[in-house]
Amino acid sequence: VTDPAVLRMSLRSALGPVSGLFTGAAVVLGLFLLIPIAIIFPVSLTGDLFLTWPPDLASSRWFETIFESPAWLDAITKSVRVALPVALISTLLGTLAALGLAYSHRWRRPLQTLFIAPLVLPIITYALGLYDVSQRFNMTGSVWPLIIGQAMLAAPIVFIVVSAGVAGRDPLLPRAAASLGAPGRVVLWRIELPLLRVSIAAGASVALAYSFDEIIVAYFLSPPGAGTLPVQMLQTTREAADPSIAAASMLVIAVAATIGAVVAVIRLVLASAPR
Amino acid sequence: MAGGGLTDVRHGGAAMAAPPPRFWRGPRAADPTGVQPRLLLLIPCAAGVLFLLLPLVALTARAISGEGVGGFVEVFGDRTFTDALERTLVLSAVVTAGCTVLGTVYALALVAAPRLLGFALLAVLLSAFWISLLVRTFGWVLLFQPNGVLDQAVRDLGITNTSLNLLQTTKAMYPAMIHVILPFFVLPVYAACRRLDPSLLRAAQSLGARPLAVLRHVVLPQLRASILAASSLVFMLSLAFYVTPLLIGGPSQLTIATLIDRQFNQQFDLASAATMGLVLLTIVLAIYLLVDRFVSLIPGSPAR
Repeated sequence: VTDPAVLRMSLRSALGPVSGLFTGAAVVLGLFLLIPIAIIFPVSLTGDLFLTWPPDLASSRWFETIFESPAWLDAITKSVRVALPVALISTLLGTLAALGLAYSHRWRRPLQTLFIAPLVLPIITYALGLYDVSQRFNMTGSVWPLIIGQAMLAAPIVFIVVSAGVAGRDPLLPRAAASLGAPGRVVLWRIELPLLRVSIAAGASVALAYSFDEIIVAYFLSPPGAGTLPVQMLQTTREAADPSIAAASMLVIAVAATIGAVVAVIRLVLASAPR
Repeated sequence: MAGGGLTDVRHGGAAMAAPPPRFWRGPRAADPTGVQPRLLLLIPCAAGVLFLLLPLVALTARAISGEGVGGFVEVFGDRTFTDALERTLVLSAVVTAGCTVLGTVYALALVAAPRLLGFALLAVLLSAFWISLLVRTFGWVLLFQPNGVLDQAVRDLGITNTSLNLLQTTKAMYPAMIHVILPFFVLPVYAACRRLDPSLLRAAQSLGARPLAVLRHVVLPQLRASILAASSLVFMLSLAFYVTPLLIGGPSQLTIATLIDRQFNQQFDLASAATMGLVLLTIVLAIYLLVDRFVSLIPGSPAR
């Protein structure tokens, strides 16, 4: 990566007016990116029964509705019960894959393709496949097909984050440990895992956030009326638009923001902690 | 250098063995650290085969269980399906083209804008990436719905008094889809922009290249691989997009994904949903294999 300041100066001088034009266009695009949030936020605070504009900002009624309604509370509970095992399993799979690939000398490309594939896989096709398998094994009532499915979709994200961590660590440290007589498992436990803890924690948090947000697998594999929070939101939207969805949206944003803040804190604390 | 020394030992050891030519080269010399990648890779590979490939194989079995391959022929004779396929391809192509142009401009602005402005633009982009897709789509629904935000704004400005009736049209899907998908394009291209070589820019400028020539002959060629990779990613993502077409396009503007949803959740016809899902998978797989020959689709470093 080039020095950002040097790159900025040379780009602006070489591109001249084009650079200013791009910046102006990007500011307009940035405003465009903010549109949905600018709409959702005031509506979630409204006291009106229907979604109206401009909203009356003086009420937290819809937040109260959500926290007093059994349907919404069940959905929140189910989201938590799914997201935690998803984060755990996908972190395990993604970390093992990243470390294994770092040490393997053969089959690197096909393995990489296998581990990345879920990112571009049409999720709706995969969700159908999961439903099919869970039907064949009489597991349609179980929450495990959903957990496994989301974990397989979140694992590539962990894999990418941890692989970046593997690329950024000092490759001589594990070799030094081995040359001092540490067997392979000790190298992994005492050297690699501590070196990669920031990436692994970041990957796990992103996997957690992914599961809270994932909707297709959750929708296709949830029995009616027993969905995760996004499924409950989608079903409410399809049946009747009332602002409790906007309030639920703000809740989802708050969860994502909290997880994002936790990631930032983890990075700060762990990166500055003595090794 | 210690690392060089260790590698030399390994290569030296291999040279000393002086293997006679064999068809099977035998187990490769172990990694000097003694870590066995095979044991590490065992669980992720098993999970990939069991939980990723097996459901797709089961789905294929389901699709051909009724009339064999005839199911696929039948699906292509179905007008609803071919219409949805055409709509999906056009939608994805337009969204990809839009994201490619707008996203490249945005990514370049991220590195060329003044420091604070660039930071703000990146924050806006990441917030759009981080905030739930369903929530963002829902914001667009509120904007486009009858008597929604846009209708009222138009009325307040005195342009027209009637509803624009944008919800459940293909028109309304474009801005919403581009909004949802743009971050997936910008983030990898931004990573490539940060690796642009300033000395090439200065050389071009000192040789008298005008701004547009610099853009065309110096900047864009350096970004070509990442733009191609990101566009293909965006195209594959939009082909399978579900939430946005469902909430904004609705039942009158079916895409493949929402048609699959209808077959599965309303008609309870798993076999036909499976067939359509596999057609979608085949298209995505073909694009993936084609593009993968030219550029690596794997993002170099995640920008989070």
